[in-house]
Amino acid sequence: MGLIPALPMVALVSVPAALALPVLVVLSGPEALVQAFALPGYAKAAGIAVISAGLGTVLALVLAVALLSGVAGRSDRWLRLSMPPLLATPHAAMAVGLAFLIAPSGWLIRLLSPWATGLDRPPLFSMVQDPWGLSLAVGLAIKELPFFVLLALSATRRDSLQPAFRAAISLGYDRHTAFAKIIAPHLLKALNLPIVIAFIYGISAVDMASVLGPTTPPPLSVLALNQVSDPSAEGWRLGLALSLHLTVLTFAALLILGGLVATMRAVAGRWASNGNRRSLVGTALAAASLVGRGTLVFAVLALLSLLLWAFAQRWRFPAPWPQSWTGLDWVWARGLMSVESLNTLWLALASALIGLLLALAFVLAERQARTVTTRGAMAWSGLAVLPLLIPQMTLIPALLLIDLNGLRLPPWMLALWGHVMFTAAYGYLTLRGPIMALDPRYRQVALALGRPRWQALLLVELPILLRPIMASLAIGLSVSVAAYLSTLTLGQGRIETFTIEAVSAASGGSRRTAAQFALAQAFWALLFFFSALSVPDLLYRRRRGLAAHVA
Amino acid sequence: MPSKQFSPIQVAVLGFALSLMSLAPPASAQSADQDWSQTLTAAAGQTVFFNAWGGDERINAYIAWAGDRVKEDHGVTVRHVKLSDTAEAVNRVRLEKQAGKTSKGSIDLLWINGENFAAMKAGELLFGPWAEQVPAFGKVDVVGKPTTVLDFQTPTEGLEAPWGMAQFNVIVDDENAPDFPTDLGALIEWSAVNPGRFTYPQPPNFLGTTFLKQAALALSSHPDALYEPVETADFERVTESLWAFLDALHPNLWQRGRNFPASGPAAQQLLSDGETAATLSFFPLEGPALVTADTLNAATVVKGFDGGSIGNTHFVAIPFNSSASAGAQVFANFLMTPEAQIRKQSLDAWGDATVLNEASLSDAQRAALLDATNGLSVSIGPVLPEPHPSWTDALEAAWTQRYGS
Repeated sequence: MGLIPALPMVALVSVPAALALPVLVVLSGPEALVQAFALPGYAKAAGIAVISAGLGTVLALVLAVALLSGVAGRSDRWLRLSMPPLLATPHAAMAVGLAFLIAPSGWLIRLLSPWATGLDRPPLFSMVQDPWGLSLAVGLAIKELPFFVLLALSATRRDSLQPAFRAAISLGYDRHTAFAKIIAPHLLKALNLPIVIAFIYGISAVDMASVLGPTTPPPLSVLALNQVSDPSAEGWRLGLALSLHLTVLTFAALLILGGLVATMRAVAGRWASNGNRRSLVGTALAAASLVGRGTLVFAVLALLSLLLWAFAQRWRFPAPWPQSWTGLDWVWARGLMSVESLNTLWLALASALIGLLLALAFVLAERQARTVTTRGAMAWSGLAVLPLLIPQMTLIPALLLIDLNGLRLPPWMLALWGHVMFTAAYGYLTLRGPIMALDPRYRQVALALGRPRWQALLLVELPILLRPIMASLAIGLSVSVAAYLSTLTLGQGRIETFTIEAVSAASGGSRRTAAQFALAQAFWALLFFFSALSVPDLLYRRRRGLAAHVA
Repeated sequence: MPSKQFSPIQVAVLGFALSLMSLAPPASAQSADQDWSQTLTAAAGQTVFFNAWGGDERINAYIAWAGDRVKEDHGVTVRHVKLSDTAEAVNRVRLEKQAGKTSKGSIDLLWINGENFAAMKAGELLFGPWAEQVPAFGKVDVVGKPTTVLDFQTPTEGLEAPWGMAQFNVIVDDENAPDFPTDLGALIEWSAVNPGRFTYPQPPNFLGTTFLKQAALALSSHPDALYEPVETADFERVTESLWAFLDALHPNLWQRGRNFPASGPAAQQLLSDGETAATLSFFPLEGPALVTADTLNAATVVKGFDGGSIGNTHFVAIPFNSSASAGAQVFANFLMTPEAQIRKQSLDAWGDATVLNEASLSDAQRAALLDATNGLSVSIGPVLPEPHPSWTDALEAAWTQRYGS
C-alpha cells in the first residue's frame, strides 16, 4: 500500500493550495506588498485581528474543557445533543443573532424596557463593536466551543482513562482537579490541530468580524476584504497583498502560540504530579463550567431570537415580542424542493463523500508511514490542512486563476473541487485523532488469524471506526452547506445555494431575510448531522460495548 | 472594444438625436431594425446570467418578473446571480481577461455604475458599444437626465444601458426627529441636542462617500473645484470646511462616531430599530416603499438637502466575453421599455425612478407612471451632478486617514 493512498489528497487538495501562494505573490506584486504596510490603521487592524482570534480561541478552549470536566463520569447526553444545532448554525447567522441580543436596541434590553430600565428609546452605550474586538472574541468563542467539545468528547471517554479518573476521585481528588490532571492533557493533545484551525478561522474569516467587530479600523481580515472589493486593479492588488500579510501574521501568531503551549505543558506536567488533591485550577474549572453553561444558554437565546426574526414582520424597540408576523409562505418560497435545495444537497453529499474518502486514505497512509518513522507529524498535518491556512478571500481567486489558465473545468466541477478542498481538510482533522488512537491489536489479531490487510481494514477496523467516520461526514456536509466564496466564485454564479442567498440577503441588512435563509441552511446541516450520527446508533444497537472502545 | 471617444456633449446630442429618431424614423432606421431582428433571432434560446446585487427582496422579485417577461416574448432565459458585492464580479471578469478567456465568460450582464463602470471601461472589460442602438433607448431622457449617458462624469459611450435614476436624500423618522435639518450646517446643532441619533455608512461605502461629497459641495468655499480633477485643486483648502464640519459632528453621532454602519441597509436597520432617527438613501421612493412594506414607522418622511442633492443613474453593462451578448441586449432593452420602467417605479414593486422621457410616453403610460407612485414625486429638489470621479478616492483616503484608523 505504502504512500499511494495519500496521493489523491495531495494532488487535489495540498498542491493547488500550495500553488495559490506563489500565484498570489505574483498577482499582487512586490510594490503592493510594501504599500500595504502604509495603509491607515494597518497596525491596529493587525492587533485587533490577533487579539480577537487569540482570545476567542483561548476562551472557547477553557470553556470546552470546563464543560467536559463538568460532565466527566456523568451523563453527557444534554451536552452531546446541544452541540449540533450550534455547530450547524452558520457563523454569519450566529453573529447576527448575537448582535441582536446584546445591541443597544437588542432583545435583552427590550425584555427589560421600559418597565425596568425606564427607556423608551435605545440607550447610547454599546456592547457590540468595541474598539479591540472583545465582543468579536466572545462571538468566535461561542462558535468554536461546540467544535472543540464534539472533537474532545471522544478523548474524554477513552477506556484507558476512566479507571484512572475513578481512582483519582476515590483517592480524594476533587472532580475538576482530577479532570485537569488526568484527562485534560489527553484532551488538549487531541485538540492540537483543532485549536490551530479555530485560530486561523477566527483571524481570517470575515462573516463574524464584519458584524461584531469594530470598524475604525476593522480587523485585518475585513480591511483586506474591503480592499479586495476595490474595483480598480491597483486597489485589488493591494487587497491581495493585505491578505498575504494576514497569512504571514497568522503563522507568526501560531509560532508564538506554539511556544506558549510548550512552556505551559512543561509547567503543567510538574503540577499534575504534585499530589495536591485540591487546586486553584480545579476551582477555576468549576467556575468556568458554570460560565460555559451560561454561554450555551446565551447562544441558544441568540438562535431563538433568529427564529423569531424569521417570522417577524414588524418588531421595533422596545417591543419584547414581534408586533406583527409574516405568513408561512416563505418556508415554501425558500422552497424545500427549490433549485437552491437541490444544489445545496448534491454539492454537500458529493463533496463530503469525496472529501471523506480522500481524508480516510490519507490518514491511513500517514498511520502506516509514521509507524515506520514516528516522525513528520507536522508535515503530514500541514499538507492536509493547507487549504485552511490561507484566507479564503485570496485562496479562491487564485484557484480560479489556476483553473482559467489551464484546466477550464465546467463551473459545477470547479465548485465541487473547491468544496472538496475544505471537506477533505476538515475530514482529516476529525478522523486523524480516532484513527491514530485506535488500538493496533485489533488489526494485529486479524492479521494473525490469516486475514489479508484489506480485510483487516474493511471488516475489523472501519466498523469500529464507524462513529467517528460518520461524525466526520456530518462535519464535511455542514462545511459544504456553509461554503460561500467557493460556491459563488468557483461556481461562477452558476450554482445557487442557500448560502449564496443568505449572504446576499445579509448584505441587504434585512434581519428577517438573513434569519430565514440561515434557518433553511441550518435545517439541512442539522438533518445531515442527526442522520449521520444516528447511523452508528442503529447499526450498533446490539453492540453498545463497541462504542466504548473508540470515540 | 470601444474605439471612439465622444465628449459628454456629443453624447448628449447624439442621444437627443436618437430620441427624435424614435418619433420620426428616418430611412436608416430600416437597417437598424434589421440589426435588431438579427439580435432577436440570435437571442432566442440563450440563457443570460445577470449578475446583480441581491440584497433587496423587492428588487429580486422585480428582476424575476422581468426575466419571465423576456422568456415569454423572446425566449430568453434570465438567471439572476445574486451578488453581495458587485466588485466580486468585476474582479472575476478581470481574472478571465488576464487568463485569456475571451469568449464564454461567466457573466452576461452586470448591474453597475460609478467606480465599477469606470474600472471596467478603463480595463477594456466591456462589450459594445451597444446600448444606444437598441430600440428602447429612444425614449431615454438623455437631455433632461444627463446622467443617463454620463456615469459619475465618465461618458458611457454606449457601453452600458441606463436602468434607473437615483437622488441622494435622507429618510427621517418624523415622530422622533420632526426638526431634522435639511441644511447640513445645522446638523451639528441638531446632533448636539440629539446625541447618538444620526450616523452615515462608513466610506468607502458609496452612501457614506456621497455624504462627504454632498457636505463638501454644500460647505466648501470653493465648490467649483470639485468638478475639476483633484490633482489640479488645492485639496486642503477645498476640503478644510468639510473636516471642520465632521470634527464637530462626530462626537455626537451614533456610538460617538467610533463605529459606522457598514452599508446603507445596515444603517437602515438602525433606523428601523430606533437607534437612529434618520438615515441616508439614494432612492427618493425607498422611504415610502419601506413604510409600505411595514419595515419603517408610518410617520417616516423623505427630505432633500438645501441647495440640491447629488443625483446619478444606475446601469446594466455586458462584459467583453459574454457568452450571450444578444440575449443580454434583449433583456437590457426590455428593462428600458415603458412597461418595465413603469412597473419598476411602482411602490409595490421597487419604487425606482424611470430613466425615460415622460414626454415621449402615451397619456395612458404617463397616468400609469403617476399612479405607480401614488402620486408621490420622485424628485426631491434640484439635482447636483456628481463631482469629478478623482475626488472619490481622494475624499475616501483622507476620511480613512482622519477617522477610520
